[in-house]
Amino acid sequence: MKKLIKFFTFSLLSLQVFAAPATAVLNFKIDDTDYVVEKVTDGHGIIWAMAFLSETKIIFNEQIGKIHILDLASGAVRTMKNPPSVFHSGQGGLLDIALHPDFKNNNFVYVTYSKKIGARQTTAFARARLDLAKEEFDKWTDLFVALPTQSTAHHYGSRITFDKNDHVFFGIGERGQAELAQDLKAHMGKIIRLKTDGTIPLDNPFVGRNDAKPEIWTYGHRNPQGIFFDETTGKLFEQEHGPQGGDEINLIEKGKNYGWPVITYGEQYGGGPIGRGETTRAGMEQPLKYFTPSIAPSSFIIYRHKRLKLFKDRFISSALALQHLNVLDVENCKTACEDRLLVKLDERIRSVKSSPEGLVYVSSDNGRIYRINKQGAK
Amino acid sequence: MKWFIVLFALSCTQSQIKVTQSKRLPADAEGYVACHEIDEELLIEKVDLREIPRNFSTVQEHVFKNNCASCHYGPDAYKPRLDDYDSIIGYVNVANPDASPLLQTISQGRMPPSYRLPSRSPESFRFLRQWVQEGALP
Repeated sequence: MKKLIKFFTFSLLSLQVFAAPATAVLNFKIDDTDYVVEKVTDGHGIIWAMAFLSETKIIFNEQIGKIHILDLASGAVRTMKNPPSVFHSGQGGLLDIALHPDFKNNNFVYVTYSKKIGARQTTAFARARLDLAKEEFDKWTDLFVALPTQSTAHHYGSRITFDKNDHVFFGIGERGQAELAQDLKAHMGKIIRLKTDGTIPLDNPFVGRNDAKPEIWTYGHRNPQGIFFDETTGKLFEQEHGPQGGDEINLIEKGKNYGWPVITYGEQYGGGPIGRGETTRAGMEQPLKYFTPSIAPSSFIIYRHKRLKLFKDRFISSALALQHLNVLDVENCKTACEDRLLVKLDERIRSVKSSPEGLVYVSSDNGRIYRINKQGAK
Repeated sequence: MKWFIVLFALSCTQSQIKVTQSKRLPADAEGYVACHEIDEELLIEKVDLREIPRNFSTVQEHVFKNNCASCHYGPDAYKPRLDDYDSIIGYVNVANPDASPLLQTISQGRMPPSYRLPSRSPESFRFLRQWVQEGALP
């Protein structure tokens, strides 16, 4: 009997009381097409990341260190057991969550998170298998831990993406130590490339050098919080927070230096140049696009579906500071124009994803997930 | 227009991608041009902070969570730690709310940092100040 009571108690605890039908919260119109924004879940902490298990199931996390699955059909949210143990403080905590490209067969879930080591902290990349029936992760294994650890509690990065050749990419922030972004002996301020099992690909650009970390793919980044491998073009794109102004979108290419803090379109908080105030230098890459003032981009995708014409073949970035969803052309940049959506929601937009069938979902720091669809569509 | 923005009508191929703004802009520039005219209609009523009871929980929900949490929540967060009542109480002066370091930091524009977080709204600040004035109740 005790076991039965324990079972029911646990079941009630793991089924959160967030179940509710989607609620329309915002309409907007572009080019004679009406769109609707629906709230599909509410009542959580900062929802840092989402991934789609299917068209109707989203796995998402809270920065504090929880992982849930949302059933979009019923609105029910179930909490997964044995999440990774994370150091949640300031900008740290549970960061991105991503499914292995072959998740259906291997059940691997990957996360980036901030990790405490002694009195210092760093960004780590870990994976575990998710048993969907038991709603439980098996043992988490750190596949990568950024070194050296730092005493600061900000600029951890970090988003995850996979290419089609069994590689995984993720960004590590410079942890407020700007000079480390140019130091190849440190993982800070870098884009990291590994095989999905955590081993280091032998064709990484700095493999075999004594003066560099072999996991590094590119360097000179500030705080990357967007990374997207575009299967359509085979290109890798990254987005990062600048200082005051100067947020960037970059085309990421093997071994290249993206300039921080030597070149930047941003400036010191409160004004004044960073370093010599340079925006260009030989051997350092220019961004595809920079934002001044900062929008504080926290994630991004390229939308390659046909379902929502507004987004087709455009970057979609979630913006924290200017509280909107930023949509712009970069690949075919005939103009420098942008669309800024969801302004009236008044939310810090934390992450953006498209569903397998092409609906767009965003999460917010207020613990909500919203869905964007055409009005009248199902 | 205060700042003249140089826009390039570049036609970029996928192999020839260029920077879409080539000139350093001042950080306070309203430097963007909309591609489309967007007409947004909010379908829900915004919370009227004047009708919300003021306590530590509602202050967190309506002020800190959306403006401060990403840096000031957690055991080793930047001080003051805003998700901990005992911590924050050291930064308020109930007898003289406007002398509270917490409120002064905001009213003097030092926090939230410019261009990184939503600009403080008068309603949120008023709500926070009233909470302090009423005794900063837990």
